Amino acid sequence: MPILSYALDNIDLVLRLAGEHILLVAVALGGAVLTGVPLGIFLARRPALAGGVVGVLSVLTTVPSIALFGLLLPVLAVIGQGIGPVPAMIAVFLYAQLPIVRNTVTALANVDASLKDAATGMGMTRRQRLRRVELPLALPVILAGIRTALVTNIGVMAIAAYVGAGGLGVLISRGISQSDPRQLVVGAVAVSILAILADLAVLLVQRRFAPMSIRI
Amino acid sequence: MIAFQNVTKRYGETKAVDDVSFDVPSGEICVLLGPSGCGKTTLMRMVNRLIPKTSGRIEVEGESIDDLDPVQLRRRIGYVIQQIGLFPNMTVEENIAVVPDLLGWKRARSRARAGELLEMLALDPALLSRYPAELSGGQQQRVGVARALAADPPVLLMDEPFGAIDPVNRAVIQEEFLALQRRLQKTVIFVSHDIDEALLLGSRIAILREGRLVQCDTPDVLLQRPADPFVASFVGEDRVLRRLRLLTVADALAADPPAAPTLQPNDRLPLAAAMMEEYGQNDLVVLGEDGRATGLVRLEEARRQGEGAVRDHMEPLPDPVRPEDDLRAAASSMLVGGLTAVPCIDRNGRFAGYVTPGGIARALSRRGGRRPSIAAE
Repeated sequence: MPILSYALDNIDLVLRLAGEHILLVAVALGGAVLTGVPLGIFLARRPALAGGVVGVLSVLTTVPSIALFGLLLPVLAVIGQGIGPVPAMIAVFLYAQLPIVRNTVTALANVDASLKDAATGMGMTRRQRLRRVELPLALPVILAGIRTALVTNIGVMAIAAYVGAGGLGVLISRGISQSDPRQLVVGAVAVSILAILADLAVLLVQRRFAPMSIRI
Repeated sequence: MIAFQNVTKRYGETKAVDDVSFDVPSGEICVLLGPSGCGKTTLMRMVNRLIPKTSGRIEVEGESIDDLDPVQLRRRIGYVIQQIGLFPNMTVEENIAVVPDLLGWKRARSRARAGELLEMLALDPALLSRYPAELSGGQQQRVGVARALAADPPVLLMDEPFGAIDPVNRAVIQEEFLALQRRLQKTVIFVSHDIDEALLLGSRIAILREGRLVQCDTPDVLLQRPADPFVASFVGEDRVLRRLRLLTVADALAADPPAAPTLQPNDRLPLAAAMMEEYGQNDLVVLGEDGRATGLVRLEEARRQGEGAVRDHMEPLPDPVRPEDDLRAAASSMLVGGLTAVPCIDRNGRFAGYVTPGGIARALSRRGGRRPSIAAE
C-alpha cells in the first residue's frame, strides 16, 4: 500500500493543495455565475443574439485548456501575471460561461408561453414576471448548468498546475515529472473525490430549490 | 361596461379585427363566437392591451384604456385563459393572491380572500397549500377563475376557459360559473367557439367572421333571426331544437293559456274519453281532492275499458315537468311518454297546465328578446 501510506504521510500537503484547488475553482466559478446568469437573462429575450453568443462560447470550450493557458500567457504577461493563479482562474471562468449561459437561456426560453401570458395579463411588470415566475421555474436548469461547469472545471483546474497555479494538479504534474506513481495517483484520486463531492453538494441545493411541481 | 368603438387591428395588409363597434353592458356575459381566425381572441386581448389596437376606442368602466397605464389596467381586469396558466412554483393560495399582492394588499387580507374564493368555487380549503400539479384539471380551472376574481375586478376576460376540460366536468363548471355570475354580476367578455356554451352562458353573443362583427344579439334572437346565412349555419341547422333549451315550460304555458281540463277520481271513463276528444289530447290529469295531481288517464285505456271509474284505470304520473324546466325536457317527456299533453306540476305539487305541441310551437314563434338586443349594422 505505498500509495495509501504516501497519502497519509503527506496528508497536510494534500489537504493544503485541495484547499487551494477549491478556492481557485470557487472564485472563478463564482465570477462565472455572477456574469453568466445575467448574460443569459439578457440573451433570453434576444434569440438571434443568443445563438451567436452561445456559438462563440461553444468554440471557446473546444480550445484545450493547455492551449488556452498558452494563449493567455503573453496577454497576461503584460501585467506580470502570465503564470500563476490568474490565467487558471480566467480559463475556468471562460469555460464555465457556456453551460451557465446556455442553460439560463434555454431554461428561460422554455418557460411555458401561457404562463408568461397569464403573468403579463394579470398585471405583472417584466421585472416582476422574471422574478416571481420565470426565474423560479428556470432555477433547476440553471443550477444544472452550474453543476456541469463546476464538475468539469475541477478537472480543468488540475491542469493549471502547469502554469504554476497550485492546487491538486501539483501532485499530478510532479508525479509525472518525477515518475512517481504514488503522487500521481493520490493527486488524481483527490481531484475525483473533490469533483464527486462538489457534484453532490450542488445536487442537494438543486433539490432544495426545485419548485414543487418539478420535484413531483 | 365595456364599449368598443370602430376598433380595428391590422397586421400588415390583413385586418384581424375590422371596424368593430358594440357595447357590453355591466353585469352581462358577452360571448365572442366564431370560427378560429375570426379575430375573437385578438379583440378580447386588445381590452387589457396585451395586443395594441391599430385604431378605434375601447372603454372599460367609462375610461378609455389608452388613458391608463397597461399594468394598472390589467390589475383591474380579471384574466382567465384556456391553458389555465397557474404558476407551478406557487401554491394555490399564492396563485390566487398574485393580483392582491401586486396591488399591495396586506398578507392577512389576501390570504383570507383566497380562502373565501375557494369556498365560493366549491373547492376544499385544504387545497390552499397544494401545488397546481397536485390538482385535477377541473380543480385547476376553478382555481384559475378564483385567481381572476381575487381582487374583485368589475371586468373579466375569459379566453375559452373551459375548453380543455372533459365534457362532463365542463357542463358542471359552466353551471357553477353561471350561478356565481348571477351573484357577482361581473361584466364578462368570454371567447368561445362552442355554440352550445355560448347559448348557455351568454347574455348576448357577438358573432365574428374574418374580423368583422356579423351579429350581436341575445341567444334567443340569434337563433330566431340569424342576420345572414353564415350566422344561420354557424348556430346550426338544428337551431330550432337549440332554442328549446332557452325557453322554459312556463313560456309554453303562457303561450298556450286556454283551458287545462282535468278529471276527478270519481269521473266515469266515457266522460274522460269525450273530454279528450273534445280537447284533442290523448291524456288527461286526474286531480285528487286536495287539488294535487294524482295520476293520468290515457285515451286508449279509456276507450278499451269502456265503463268504470277513472280512479280504477289511471296510471301514475310520469316524471313531472316543472315550470322552470327548459322546453327540451318537456319535449323529451312528450316523446318518451307518448303524450300529446305533458302535465306540468309546480313546486307545491299543484297542476299548472299542459305542455302541448301547439304550445311549444307558439312559444318558439314568439319574438324573443326578453333581454335587450342590438343588431350589427
